[in-house]
Amino acid sequence: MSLSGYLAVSIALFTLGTIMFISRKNTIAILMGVELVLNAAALNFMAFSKFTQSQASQLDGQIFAIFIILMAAAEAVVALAIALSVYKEFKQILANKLVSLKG
Amino acid sequence: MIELSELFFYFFTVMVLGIGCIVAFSQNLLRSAFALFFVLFGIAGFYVLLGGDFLAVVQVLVYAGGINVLLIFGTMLTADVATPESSNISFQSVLTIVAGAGIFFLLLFIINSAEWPIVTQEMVPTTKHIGRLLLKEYILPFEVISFLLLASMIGALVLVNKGDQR
Amino acid sequence: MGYIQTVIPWVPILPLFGAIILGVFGKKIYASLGENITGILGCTMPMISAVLAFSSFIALNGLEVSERIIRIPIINWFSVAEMNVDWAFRYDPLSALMIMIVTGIGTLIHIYGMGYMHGDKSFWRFFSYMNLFLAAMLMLVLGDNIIIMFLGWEGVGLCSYLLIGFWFTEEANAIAGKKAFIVNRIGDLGFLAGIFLIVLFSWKTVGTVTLSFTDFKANIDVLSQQTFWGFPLLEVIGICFFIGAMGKSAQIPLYVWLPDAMAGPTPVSALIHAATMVTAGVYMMGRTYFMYTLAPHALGFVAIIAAMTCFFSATIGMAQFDIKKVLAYSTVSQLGYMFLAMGVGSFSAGIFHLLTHAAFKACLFMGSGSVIVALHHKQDMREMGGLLKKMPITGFSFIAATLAIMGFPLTSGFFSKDEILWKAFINGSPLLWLVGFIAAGITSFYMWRLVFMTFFGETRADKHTWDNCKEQPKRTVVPIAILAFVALTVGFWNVPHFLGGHSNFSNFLDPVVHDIQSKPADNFRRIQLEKGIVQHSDESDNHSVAKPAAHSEEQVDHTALEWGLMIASVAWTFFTGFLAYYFYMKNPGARAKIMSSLSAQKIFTVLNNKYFVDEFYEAVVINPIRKLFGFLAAFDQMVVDGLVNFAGFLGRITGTVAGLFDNQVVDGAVNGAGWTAQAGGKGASLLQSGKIQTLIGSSLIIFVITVVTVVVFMG
Repeated sequence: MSLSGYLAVSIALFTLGTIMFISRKNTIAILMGVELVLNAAALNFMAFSKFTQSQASQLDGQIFAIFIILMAAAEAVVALAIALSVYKEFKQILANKLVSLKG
Repeated sequence: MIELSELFFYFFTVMVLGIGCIVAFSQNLLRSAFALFFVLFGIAGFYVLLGGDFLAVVQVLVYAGGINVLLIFGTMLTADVATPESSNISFQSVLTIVAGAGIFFLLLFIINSAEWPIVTQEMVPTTKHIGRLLLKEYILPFEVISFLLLASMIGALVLVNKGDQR
Repeated sequence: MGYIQTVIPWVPILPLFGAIILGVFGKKIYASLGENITGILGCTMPMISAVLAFSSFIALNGLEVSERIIRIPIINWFSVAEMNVDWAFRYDPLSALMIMIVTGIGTLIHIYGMGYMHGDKSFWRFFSYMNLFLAAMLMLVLGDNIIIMFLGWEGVGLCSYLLIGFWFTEEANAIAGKKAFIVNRIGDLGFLAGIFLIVLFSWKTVGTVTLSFTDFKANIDVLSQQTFWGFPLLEVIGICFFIGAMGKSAQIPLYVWLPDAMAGPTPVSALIHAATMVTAGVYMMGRTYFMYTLAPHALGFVAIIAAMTCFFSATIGMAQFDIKKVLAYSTVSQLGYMFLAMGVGSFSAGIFHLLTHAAFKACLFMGSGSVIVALHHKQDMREMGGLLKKMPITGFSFIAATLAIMGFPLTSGFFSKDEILWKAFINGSPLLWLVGFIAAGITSFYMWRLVFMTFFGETRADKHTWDNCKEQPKRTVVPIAILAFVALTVGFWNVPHFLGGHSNFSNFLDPVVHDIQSKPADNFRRIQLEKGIVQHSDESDNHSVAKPAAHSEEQVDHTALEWGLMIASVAWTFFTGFLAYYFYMKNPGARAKIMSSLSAQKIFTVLNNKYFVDEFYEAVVINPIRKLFGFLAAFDQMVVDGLVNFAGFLGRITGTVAGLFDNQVVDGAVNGAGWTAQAGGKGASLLQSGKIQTLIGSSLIIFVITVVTVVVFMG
């Protein structure tokens, strides 16, 4: 609709992702929060790509959004691999119990 | 008469935010994972409304079809066999509420107080242009991200294999 | 004016809400709140729609005649090239009448359904489907353009399928539902062809296509000059649309689904297959009357098919023993009457018969349903008899409706049927009149046969059923009685001139459905001459046609002829009714004697088996298609499998090559990436603290505070 509409949705999604990220115990849930945050950022880029001018080309924002998606893919793969390894080692993946990095 | 594109914008907003709440606050991890599908589809819908047709398809294929499936695999592989719900909320809730509210209102304030130089342009099919951009102006990030994807694949394999060898 | 615009969009939407609510939550509501609440919930939306429909009718009457066509646009649906279709409703005398019929009779049948479906465990699903049906039917009649009407057309077909196969656990019911839907679909093919032709030719001639009825009417002169494959375009479209009507309104040859549709619950038969869905074809012809006025050959085709159907199914109805099947064939026959009226150009007479038929046929079906439930779901008339003493209200209402259908003087059926027969005689041909006349007699015969076998005489039911048989609860019988009253009185809306009335109904419909006042072919010729399309060299012909379009073609006074035909019809129906009385009540022995002769038995077998039409279709149409399926399946297996195997073989080769490459190149990369990660990780692992989430959360808060501080204190 208008730029502020899309930005508002993006902010709301970002907040939801942050809340998930900070407060959930299960690692996979935290990863989902990260996905939400990344999506919010990508939506932000797309909205700006449509509504404002840009230097290199008009589709700058869309290129950036593509890279966000690709990066999210890479990150999800690695994060899940880590989560699986942790599960094998510690037999659980609850973030508040994985504190062996303390100190 | 009502504008059809406005209708779609509201529909996708409700879909993304409503189901986003389900993702964020559901007690059942699997439900969150499956709800995330719909959120991603809603975002793809937004991309269509914003003129990013190629991007919407990429979103559905890669994000919804790849990453979300990966998350669901992760959920199932690391689940407690006895209890299907495997995540809980209200862990350090004070911190969550304060941080969340703070971020939200800060960003909202930033957006409202900024004057965005708005330039509306017509929507064109973007696939050709994105292809050209990726191979001209943005060739460096393109190559780097290919390497990043390769590295992440290898890293994932190594991580999983290392557990076996122990 | 604002009242109608505000209120009409809700008329189809409220039942839709009802259907959705009952569909999604119905099971829970039925389980927790019980049957009565579910039933009331199912009936409220139709009731509100009925109130809105009737009040809109009153509002419409307050408007000037010229202002009575009201278009209510909602939203633009799609716009492609020069085609622009809006989602819009159209309220005018014809749709006002139709929504009153649909919601009025619909509400009564919903209330009746609460009684009929008592104890059924799918009670909630019934009301959900019925509401959905009302929504689709209302959309059909309120549509401003052909697309919306077609949506409603398909919607009622779907609901018919759902409701006929309501008790789908019995295979026969499911098959009947499938048959209804498929036969309907065949008709819809014709309808769609007609729509495509309209789109194509509108685009070629006028340039824009909206498919709305007002635009179609405005363009009709241009379209009437087009030809399609050598035939006049409007004739072709007229026949295509009528093919759709053949399927939906059960004319020959696509009527075969209607008798089988009696497998559904009786309220379904009453609502869908008597009063509303099957009348969609008649409504469609009324809506597009302006096209049919310019297509006299199509009208002739319609009239002939209609007369054949009328007679043919009446003869089948004479030989059926299932009470609902008799009524089903009666419906097909009465629909034949409606199309006969349309076929001779008396569109408002056809619609009037639609109204009267809806009232008395729904009453008859509901009455039969009441009898069936009272006798514990027995439907064979040979096991009934003498029920009038046990079920007086049902019985007398049934008799009242029978008087209406036979055309007893001053009932509604009398006025409507006589109007049709008169117009068939004067504007059609005496032969058409004769067929209709004979069929009227047969109608009277089989209806009184039904009444006498069911309600009079000694009972043939077994003792247990007889003892448990009693009058049904109020919610079942009150709607029947109300409709019987309507069936007796609504005729007075359209008393024709020769009997002293003013044909108010025809006048009411006139702005939107204008009857042809002479033979359709003559009328068409006159129109063409007027518009100078056809030049006539003969002077005398010009003089005779140059009269301005007379509103009353009564240059010759036909009153005596009308009286004569009316008295003949009444006498004939009384006679056949008396024959029924004689053979079934007074002297059954005579009947047994006639039936014992071999030729009578052969005729009876043919009639009872519906002229073996279903078997004919099975042999000639369905079996060849099955053989084709077999051939195609074999082809699929042989050819396609071979291709798939070959593709798999190619894939294996590619995979082996890629694997070799993978092994060599990737190993080196793995080692390099691994070493980099290790080195980097050692440095970064100095970031301690156990709970990362706390770390991030607190850093977010600090970030927010910092930003706020900077902004507030440093401007």
